[in-house]
Amino acid sequence: MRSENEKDKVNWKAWYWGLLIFLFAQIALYMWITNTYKV
Amino acid sequence: MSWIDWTVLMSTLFIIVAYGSWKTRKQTSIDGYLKGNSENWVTIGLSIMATQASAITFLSTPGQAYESGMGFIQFYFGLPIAMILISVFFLPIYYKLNVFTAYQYLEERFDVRVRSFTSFLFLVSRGLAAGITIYAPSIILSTLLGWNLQLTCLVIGGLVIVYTVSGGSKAVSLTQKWQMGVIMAGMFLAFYFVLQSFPSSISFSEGVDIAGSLGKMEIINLSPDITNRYTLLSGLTGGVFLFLSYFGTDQSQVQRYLGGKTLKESRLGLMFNGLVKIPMQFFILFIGVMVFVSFQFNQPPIVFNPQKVEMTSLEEQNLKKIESSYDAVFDEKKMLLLNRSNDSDRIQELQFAQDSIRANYKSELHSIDPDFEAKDSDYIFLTFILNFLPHGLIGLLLAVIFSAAMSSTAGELNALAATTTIDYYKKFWAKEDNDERDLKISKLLTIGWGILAIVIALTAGLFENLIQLVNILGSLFYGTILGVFLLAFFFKSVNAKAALIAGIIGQLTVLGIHFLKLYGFFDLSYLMYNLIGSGVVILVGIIASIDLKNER
Repeated sequence: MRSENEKDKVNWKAWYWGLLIFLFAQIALYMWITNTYKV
Repeated sequence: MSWIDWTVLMSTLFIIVAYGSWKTRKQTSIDGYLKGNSENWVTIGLSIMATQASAITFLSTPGQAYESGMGFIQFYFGLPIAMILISVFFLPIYYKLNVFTAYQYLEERFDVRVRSFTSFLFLVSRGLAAGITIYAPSIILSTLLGWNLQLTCLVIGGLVIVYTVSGGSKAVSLTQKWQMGVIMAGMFLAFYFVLQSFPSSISFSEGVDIAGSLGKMEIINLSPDITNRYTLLSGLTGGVFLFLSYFGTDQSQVQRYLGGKTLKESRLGLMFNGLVKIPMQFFILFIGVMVFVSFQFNQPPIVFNPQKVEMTSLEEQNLKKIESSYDAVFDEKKMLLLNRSNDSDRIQELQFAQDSIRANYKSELHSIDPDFEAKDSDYIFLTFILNFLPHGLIGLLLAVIFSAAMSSTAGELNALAATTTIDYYKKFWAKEDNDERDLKISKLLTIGWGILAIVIALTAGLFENLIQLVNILGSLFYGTILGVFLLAFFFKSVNAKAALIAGIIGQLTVLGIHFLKLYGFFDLSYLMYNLIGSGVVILVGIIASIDLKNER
């Protein structure tokens, strides 16, 4: 099986947390833009 | 369109199709044809994005931002969360079982009935959607450019069949990588020319301020209203379920990341999609907002859909009057903006008046000719391209639209053929392995699904309601499919019979809710169908398994 042959040394937890932080940073930025341009 | 545009369009399409077919012409095994098995994370990531982004994404999204601002971006907030969940829970199991289709796993976990039930739901929804993926851009291109609708559908469908049949999954991924390259290059150039179309006295930051003062930069909506699709709440709840079902259980996506060289490459491909997708959608929406700013200074048509409407001279006079008031409002607003007036209330009033006059004009046209399509936001971006981009680039942007249509259709046909081959043909008719025969059957099935997609595209215009149905078809079936997969992954006590009962009840519930909504009993965002479908399946699955155990 392909998955068993590979040596995966990637720190996936760091990837997942990084992706979540990036998502919430974008949401925070969009909230700032929304408040800046509130009509 | 000039000969330069035709040359750019034709050569771009020809090079991509020829390259994809030639590079993958030596497919001799069913494994390579249906899975690929050798892609790196960049190819997987781009291929996932290209499958999701259809032509209508690039035509409609800027138009949507033009009309309603940037709020649509919230729809995608669930996507990175779904990528993480798939990477943690779904992908390792698919790899461990070395499956071709996601539905094979359901037989391992439950039984063949559950596998066939979910793969059938996929074939119905994706089979119909493939036709509309071709039809939707074709109708816009043919209306704006005067092209023959049938011929446009045939060209898009025919080109896709050529390389999808020839090289299978590998050809689809390879061409999608180049198609995404063309798409992004085209969109960046379009953005540059949108900014160039501003008057020389108006800078980029002033353009953003103008968009902001007219309400186009309000991105986040904190409303708890579940009937609204574009709120933070909808994006982070319904959106997670939608993307979890689309990327985790829809074979057109599962096939893309199962083509990875290793589990690591597939996971990185998903992470790439999670990182890039929201900024990419933001950029496409932002192009639409900048087109809106450009049309504050360059007078836009009162309607973007150029469909001809037969009318009497009295009706024509009446419309002319509306057009003059539209022109007057536009001129006054333009002067205020050029003079950097501080009277933002007046500018907003004029924008509101302009929008109302436009809506009134469209409803007049619709009352004169009920066949007139009043929703014209899909035509806005293409109208801008045709009027403001230099020759050569118009051809490139049309290649963008064709590439997007072809890349998502190719992913769909490839997945439909894989599911029919693996979950039906090899499961019920030809159980013993025979690479040569299986490969031939897969190719024939790809041609078959391709022809069906073209037939649906050619006849779609006859069934207006069918198109509306197909637009929400994903949400109608995804909740149930996801619910069955969630039962399989996380509820070990649920057995096959309970899962099947739960799947059927979940599907009937979603269809029931949809029909009640159609008849006006209540209003609900389509995104919530995914949440409701999955919830009902899980609940019924748990109750039915307890009940069945007690019976025993």
